[in-house]
Amino acid sequence: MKKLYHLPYHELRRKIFDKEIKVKDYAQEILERIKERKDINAFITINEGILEEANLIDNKIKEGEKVGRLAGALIAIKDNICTKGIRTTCASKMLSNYIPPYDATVIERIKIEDALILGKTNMDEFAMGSTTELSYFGPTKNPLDKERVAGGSSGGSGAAVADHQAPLALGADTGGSVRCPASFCGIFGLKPTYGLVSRYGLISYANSLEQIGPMAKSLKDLSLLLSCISGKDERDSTTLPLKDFNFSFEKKGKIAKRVAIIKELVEEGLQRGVRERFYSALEILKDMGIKISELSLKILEYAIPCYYIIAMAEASSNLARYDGLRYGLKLKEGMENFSLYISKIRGEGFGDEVKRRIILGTFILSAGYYEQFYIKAQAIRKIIRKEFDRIFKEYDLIISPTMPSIAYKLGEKSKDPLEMYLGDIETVSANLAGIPALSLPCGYSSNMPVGLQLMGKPLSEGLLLSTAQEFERIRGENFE
Amino acid sequence: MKRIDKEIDLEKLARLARIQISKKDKKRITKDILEIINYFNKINELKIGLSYKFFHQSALENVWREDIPKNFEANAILDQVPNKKGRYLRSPKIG
Repeated sequence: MKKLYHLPYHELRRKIFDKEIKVKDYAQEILERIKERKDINAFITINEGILEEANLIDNKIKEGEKVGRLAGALIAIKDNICTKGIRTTCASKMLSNYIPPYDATVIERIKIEDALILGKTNMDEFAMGSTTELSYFGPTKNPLDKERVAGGSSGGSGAAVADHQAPLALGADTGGSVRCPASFCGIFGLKPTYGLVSRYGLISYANSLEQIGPMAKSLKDLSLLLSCISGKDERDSTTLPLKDFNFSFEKKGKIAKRVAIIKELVEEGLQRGVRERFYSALEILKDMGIKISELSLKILEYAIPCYYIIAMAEASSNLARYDGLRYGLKLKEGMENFSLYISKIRGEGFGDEVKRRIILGTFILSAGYYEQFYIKAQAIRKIIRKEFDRIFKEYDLIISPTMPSIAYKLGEKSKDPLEMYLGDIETVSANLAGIPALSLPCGYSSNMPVGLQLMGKPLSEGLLLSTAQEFERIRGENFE
Repeated sequence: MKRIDKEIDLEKLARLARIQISKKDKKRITKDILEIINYFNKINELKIGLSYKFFHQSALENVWREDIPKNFEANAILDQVPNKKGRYLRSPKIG
């Protein structure tokens, strides 16, 4: 029998408004589900006050008060987004007892819409990873096959939604961290245009690359959550001066007409099953009347080193704030030497991958190497952005698989850092160029989901979503 | 591209980054970062003109906001301080 927790939010919402169900009962059911499925390890912290908060929403509805667009939505939040009064750890020992005194802007915005914070989800420490194995709180497992990873770094959010432990989630995407778990777990995930969503309260890793993005079981839910979190925020000076977003499907949106595939993203290194699913997805796009052309973009051969150089340089600066003085870990001894105390705290509080990236970032920014690595990577980034601009003059979208393979086996990639970095080939370009990218499920290979990625020009989220919705509709028809 | 090898001084980098690394981990971390740096070095195959040198993610313009103080609850902030004496933050000895 279909349980309430199986339903996408827009169906639940109707039941909540028709007073068919109470938010509190639904929350109770979700909490039981999370308990039953503890071995997936999707959550680090559960919001203890959720039942009381659910009660308040039920009362509001009962009294006939006006409620927000996300009334009664229980949202799983990646644990690098600050939630006032709820522990926010970044999956790090360094912040394992940190309770933020403020809400991130996205949290304020979903609360205004009467959403409830369900809990904080597992991730790679400080979002540095593609598998959610590099967490101080242990790996998140893929709900479709517990021998496999959920993807990362927003793996807890991806697994929670796919496993019906939450109808909706927020992740954050620096080089694919929303799209990779969406692809590996078989759900929808979107990295918005840089500047569409405020980063205020998102714990910084690589701030010129990252954006908070929605994850959901349906495109309708995804676009609703995106609409609620988007828009100008004076506390994040990089947000774009835009207001009132409504990515709604009520009216049939315009879909893409001309689409490009990039040779460098679809030729080498794709797993056979992924390639097959990708090419069947192209057939569906053709059925939609979309014209597909193949282009070559040589510069993308340098996208991964370019991305990691910039990310690590920014990380070494952003993570300099963890000194164990104002918040974070505490050591019993070493108070007699300032520098040594800080080095000890950081040696103890950070995991291997975080240390590696800070040290590499320090190297990249050091005299003698700064020009050779950092400046050079910025130049490549500029070329990538220009090349994408050029392509989007002629084509509406660029499509590719989201990941070159299905979900990795646990331990398969996490032991060799370089090997793990190479898996991000399809996703990092969107972050370098600051463009939106959507991952949607497009079939299965070896019983594991495969994701299709749509990338568009800045602020083309509407086009990505309507094209994806039409793709879903036609794919559904073909299945039946 | 010329391999970057002997030039890496892990101890110096770790000191700059304020991260204590145990003797046991030193060898392993050096090996990992050398492998990664030499992979990154691939970008130096490319010759790029000066005009591409600077990149900014958002359009450069001045961003103003009203200068209104935002109040935090002092205790919520102080509660996070690992070492303190009363309402003072205790730091390790400087100098």
